[in-house]
Amino acid sequence: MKPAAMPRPTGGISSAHAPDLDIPARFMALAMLGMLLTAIIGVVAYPLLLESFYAPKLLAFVHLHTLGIVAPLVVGASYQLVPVVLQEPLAAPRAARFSFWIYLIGVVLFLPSLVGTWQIGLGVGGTLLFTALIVYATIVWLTLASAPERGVIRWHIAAAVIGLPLGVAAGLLLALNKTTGFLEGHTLSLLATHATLMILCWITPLLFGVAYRLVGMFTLSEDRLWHGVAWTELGFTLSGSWVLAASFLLYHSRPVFITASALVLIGQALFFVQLAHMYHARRRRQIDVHIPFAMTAAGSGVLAGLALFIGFVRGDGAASELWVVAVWLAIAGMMITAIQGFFYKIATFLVWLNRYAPVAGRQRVPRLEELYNLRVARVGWACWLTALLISATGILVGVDLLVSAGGLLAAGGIGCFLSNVVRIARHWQSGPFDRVIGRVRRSRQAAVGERVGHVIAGE
Amino acid sequence: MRLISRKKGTAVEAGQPITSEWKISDVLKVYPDLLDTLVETTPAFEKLRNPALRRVQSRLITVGQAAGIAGVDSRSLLKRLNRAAGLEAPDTDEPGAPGKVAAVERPDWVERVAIAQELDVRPLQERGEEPFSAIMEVSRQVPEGQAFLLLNNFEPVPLYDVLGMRGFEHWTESDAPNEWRIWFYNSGKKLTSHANAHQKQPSAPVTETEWGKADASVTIDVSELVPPEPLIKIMEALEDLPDGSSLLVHHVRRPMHLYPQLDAMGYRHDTRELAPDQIEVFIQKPPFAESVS
Repeated sequence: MKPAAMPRPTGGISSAHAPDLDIPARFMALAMLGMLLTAIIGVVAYPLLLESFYAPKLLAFVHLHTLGIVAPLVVGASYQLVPVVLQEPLAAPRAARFSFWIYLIGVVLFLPSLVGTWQIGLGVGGTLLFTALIVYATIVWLTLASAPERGVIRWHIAAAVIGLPLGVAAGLLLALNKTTGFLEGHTLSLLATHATLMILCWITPLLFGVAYRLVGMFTLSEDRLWHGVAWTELGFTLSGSWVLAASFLLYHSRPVFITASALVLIGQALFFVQLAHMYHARRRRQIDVHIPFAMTAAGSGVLAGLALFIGFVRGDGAASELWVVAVWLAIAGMMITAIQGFFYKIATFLVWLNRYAPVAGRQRVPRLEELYNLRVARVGWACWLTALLISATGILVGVDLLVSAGGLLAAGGIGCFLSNVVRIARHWQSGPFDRVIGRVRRSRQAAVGERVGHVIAGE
Repeated sequence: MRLISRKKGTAVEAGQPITSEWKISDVLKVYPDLLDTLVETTPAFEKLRNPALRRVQSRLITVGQAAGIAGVDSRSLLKRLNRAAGLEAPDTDEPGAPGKVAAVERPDWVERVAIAQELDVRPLQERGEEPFSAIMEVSRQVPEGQAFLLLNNFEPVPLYDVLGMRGFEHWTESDAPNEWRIWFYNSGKKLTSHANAHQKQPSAPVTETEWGKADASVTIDVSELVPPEPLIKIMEALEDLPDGSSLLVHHVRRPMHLYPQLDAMGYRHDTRELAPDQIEVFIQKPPFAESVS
């Protein structure tokens, strides 16, 4: 008989292991400002999607989405979620907190400089953004290295962290090239590589890995995850993405492009199937607010992959509208939709934790769903979904009116979302009763220690 | 031999004799066929055929307590279970007193005391939900010298100790196997836990030895809840817990956001990972907490 295996003691988990809430909160607040800006300029800016993807204003609009919304949200959520997902404290929280200011200055300098092609702003802003994102990648990597989890979710995050530094390095080179032109004929290749690395090698595996854990947690379907499918999806996504990124830079071989985009498409499809399966098998039967957003995001990913594949099969040139559709569906359709859906769980939970966790058990505390307006959230999703469909169609058929209508609907969708963000944020501030309870709990801790001291001393 | 399950933080294996300390969930995990044996023993176990109910209840009740609930001799139940599993019953188990914990003679307070509230938790049980929080909520609202009447579909033996420490005496009657009426009378005589009275370090981690000896006053299962409901449930259970008592929580993941709350309140706690989706958190409430607050 083999000796009975003892349970693994974890020993010593304390508040020091819990993520600091202000770190994700500041990045998320920045992302919300970015969203507000896209909603304000949406109607005017959406027609830019019909222009060449290398037009400065379109580049600025796309980077407002990526650097103004996606990146800060992903960085902030990662600082909160990676320790929870991996059950390991965040490495270097002070560096994480400091990196926010580097990022903020970087993005404020970079985005306007992109519109006006201002060399110093692009150089300094790009360097600051590069630094902040490298700090982020290092922190997540260090956290990952010491985490006990070795499963498929961990490898999704690890793959994402590897893709990021190369992607931002390519982005920095492109920013510096904007005014110097030192890349000469390689600019478009590097731009395609940069987009592939950031979208497919960083955000996609990170989003997929975190989604597997979050969807499981919030719908009680953790045990329904098909690990084999998740590994296969990771294999297809990574092999397709890296081959594609390398091909843009080195090979320019059409069969390789077709094969790589097919692998990417299969990876996206597997994620869609996995998500649909988990939702179908969930034990929490109610239709949670994040579910339609997550399925829309997964569907957009598949459509983006399909556009990429069709573009390569048709042998489309650099000016093809399919590339714009693919990138648009990936950024707005997959990333920003997923961000909205998971924000309703992640940020709401953070606010709840800050405000209500200290008084839980002592007084009635609201459920997460009570922190926002569910009807507004659903209307927002419907607007956003329609905006995606209309704008993508408008880009494909080249109709300005459709794209503008998409912009209007997108502004409506974002408006609904932001109104809920405001509702949620109002709960962040604690009232006088909560502060009293907090003081009582702290004094209780001190008094217990004091009394035990008396007992030990025999008093 | 394959490790299959555990009891009180230690591993249990197929081939080990079942003892009265085994959780019913462990018994059914190691020997799934024994569900039929349990149901044949008494119709009171028929509800374990309901998967939702089995998931919640079987983790909370030991074989010894189940014998009490069923009103059968624990030794004969153990003998029956071990025989059905093809094993010899252990020689050195505790005396096989029938699990009936209720007083033999009907106390006179049952007749004279005012019933402040009546709580029927059978619908909760049928849905597979834990009634513990609802019961404790009602118990808090019962003034001294009054009682509350609990209606349940089995005898809630573990509850007697928990409410007993809060000064509640009990009287149990059953008209049918699935109909139990329990009067809980608030006598105002709160007890303290002797086992934990000499706790020295309120915020020190629970040691390996203590894990082995630990006998949680209350066990709750939050594995079927989504965030942040587990945190709420645990904090409510801790709030209801008498000073110096302990709480054992079954979960599917480490509750990372609970730990700061526990540390802030000076609770001792430790976490064990029994399997990838099976976590136990053991929490001890400081002995003087209630008097301090």
